[in-house]
Amino acid sequence: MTTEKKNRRFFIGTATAAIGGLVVGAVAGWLAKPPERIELPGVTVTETKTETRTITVEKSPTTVVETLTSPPPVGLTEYKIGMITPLSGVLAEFGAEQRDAGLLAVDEMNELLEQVGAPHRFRVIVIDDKATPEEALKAISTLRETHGIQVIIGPPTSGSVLAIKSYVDTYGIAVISSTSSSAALSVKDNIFRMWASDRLQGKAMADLAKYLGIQNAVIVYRDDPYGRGVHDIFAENFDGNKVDIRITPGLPDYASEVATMSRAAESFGLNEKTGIIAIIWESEWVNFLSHVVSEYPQLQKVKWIGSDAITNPGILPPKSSEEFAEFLISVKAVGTTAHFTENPLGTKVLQHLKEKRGGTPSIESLYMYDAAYVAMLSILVAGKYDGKTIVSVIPSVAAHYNGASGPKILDDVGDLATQDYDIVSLVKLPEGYKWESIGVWSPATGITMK
Amino acid sequence: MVFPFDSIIRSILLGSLYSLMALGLTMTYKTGRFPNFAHGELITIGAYTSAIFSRYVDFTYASLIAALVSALTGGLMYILVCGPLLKRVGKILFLMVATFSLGLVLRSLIALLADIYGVMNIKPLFVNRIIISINGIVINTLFIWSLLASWALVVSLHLFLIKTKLGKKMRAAANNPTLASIMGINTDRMATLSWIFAGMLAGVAGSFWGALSNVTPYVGWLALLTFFAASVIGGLTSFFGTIAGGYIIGFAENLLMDFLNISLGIDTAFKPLMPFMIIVVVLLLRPSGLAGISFQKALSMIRGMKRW
Repeated sequence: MTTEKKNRRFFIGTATAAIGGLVVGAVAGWLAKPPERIELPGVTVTETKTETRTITVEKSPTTVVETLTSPPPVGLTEYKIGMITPLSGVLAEFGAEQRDAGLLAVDEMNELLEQVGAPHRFRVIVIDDKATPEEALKAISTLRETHGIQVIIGPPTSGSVLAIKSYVDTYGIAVISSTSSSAALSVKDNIFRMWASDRLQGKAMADLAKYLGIQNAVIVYRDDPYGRGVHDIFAENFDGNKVDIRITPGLPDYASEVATMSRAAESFGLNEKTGIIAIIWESEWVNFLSHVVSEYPQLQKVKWIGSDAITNPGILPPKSSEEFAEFLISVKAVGTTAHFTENPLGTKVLQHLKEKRGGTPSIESLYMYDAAYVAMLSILVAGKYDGKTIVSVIPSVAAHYNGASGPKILDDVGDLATQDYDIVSLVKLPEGYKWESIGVWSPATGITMK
Repeated sequence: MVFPFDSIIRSILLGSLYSLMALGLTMTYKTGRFPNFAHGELITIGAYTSAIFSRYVDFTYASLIAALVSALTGGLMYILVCGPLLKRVGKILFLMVATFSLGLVLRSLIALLADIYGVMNIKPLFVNRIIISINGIVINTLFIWSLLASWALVVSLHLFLIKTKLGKKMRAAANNPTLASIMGINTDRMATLSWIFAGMLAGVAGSFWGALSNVTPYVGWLALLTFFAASVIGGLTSFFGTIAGGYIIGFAENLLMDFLNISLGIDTAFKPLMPFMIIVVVLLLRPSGLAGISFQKALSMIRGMKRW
């Protein structure tokens, strides 16, 4: 074959591949139009409205950056707020919800400022951290170095917050995380958290275990800041016998971990004095229950306590098997979730998210909404866009703020000072399975069952 | 010390699934002599197809549909990307990078669609009943189905490759493409068929994997290292070596890990180390893996030893 023919073929091939890629991209884009959901049996299809806001998406090799491109107001001061949240990866749905809640807060503030003729506006720059520490670090450095940002809301995960801690402390950036809770971050620094530290959840779970008469605990926990944090506090506060089973996050299967858990439970005795304390996430719950239900029926004889992730919808129908729900009911599994007192503001925010995204929005989204408000109010109170000054006023601003997720009084290390936890149990209702509160744990008074 | 007998059952189950996954990788490697890093996405596509269709039809039919969808995707992968690149470029490094990129694109696409349709974490509807339970050793329907399906597929594929004309052509094209081409065999078509079969195996493996575990956009990617290790044990080219490799990995991750945990107190968090270690050991001691070992010769030796 002559060189000319080869080159022609190469050109044709490359052009075909490029056109093919465009077609694939167009199909993907068509599929990515305003959401219509697959109607899984039991799921209600909800129509959503499309936003008219213009969003520019800047794609770097590893991050997705969204910038609200409302034209910079003339003669007005524009303050930039960075938002770090997972928009891809296993927490993509959760992260996107957090983003929308934060953006709602900023929109509301801008509307209010415009109404009263104030000379300030806020602009949000969102970066996807994929819920990984590496991406979170890249995100914070992009926000600071490229966009000059001094105030960040998010990230919602403790692993990501831990990854950016030394960076924010070095450069004096104010960070207000929505739902990070690891006890390892309960130190005085530039990071403030709208969610209570796991020190409280760990204690709640330990008190719950004692209340249920558990004397032997098999503690299964994620080997990450969240899991280790809750585990350490639980272990500190639980007086009985303990066996630890540490699991590596992100594995495709946990068959041997479940086997180890079963052996540990059997060594204590398969009775009501033995409890399995699971400090794991939704996907790990599904994997564990897959094995437990079909291979370890003997574990029905022990008690089960889960941390907050036990209430995630992925564990229940229609996303998972009904057998899992029936198992959790049969063992009277209980979990601890942050107590949320319904209020008009919270209801309004959740309604907005429901209309925008469909499905049932999570309570956690309210914490990003409040993080955004605390950030914006702190900037306005500080009077200047300087990280250190803003850091110094955040505790006072938060102390006087009562938001969608409740009061935000912070303790001396910048975490939510107090948090009650609902003790929840799974029930089967005509409309489906639901986690219902059967009691409350309070730091001051301990457990009060309904 | 209590011997973990239940681990044997689990090892066999996982070994069967790893073998299925790894066989597809071996088939595609034999075709082009480059590893397909996008093979994990064929498994993910199979898992999602099964998870969604199992809500409308029986799990068996959902698995068949998953096999078809993954087979089609495998074929398209070769026709649109790997085949043209192989002809045009032919260098392994470029092809590896291409399959890596293809996997990234597919994974992102799957994650995008899963997010839109709210199925980032989903499970096929498969009722897993306990059939026998003796002293903590449990045999359930998933175990039986996985084992039967795996071996049925493997045996069928083996017979197809050995006994049928088309199978012989495929083997000839994989073993010596130049000679096969001279003999009038359309090597390109044979390669496409290999990728289709690889996709089919991945689809079935993904379906059962979803029933065992759960389905996320990264389920195949996360298992890549494990079934890669199985294929490496098989020397990346040996059919039966890969099957043996799958079971070796299954037993290493489960029975061996449980044994180490019980006897030496080694944390099960070290389980991901197993495939890594096995790859390193195999590459150091016998890079060709189990390929090149004549099983017939080994059988004769064993028979000879028995006569003693």
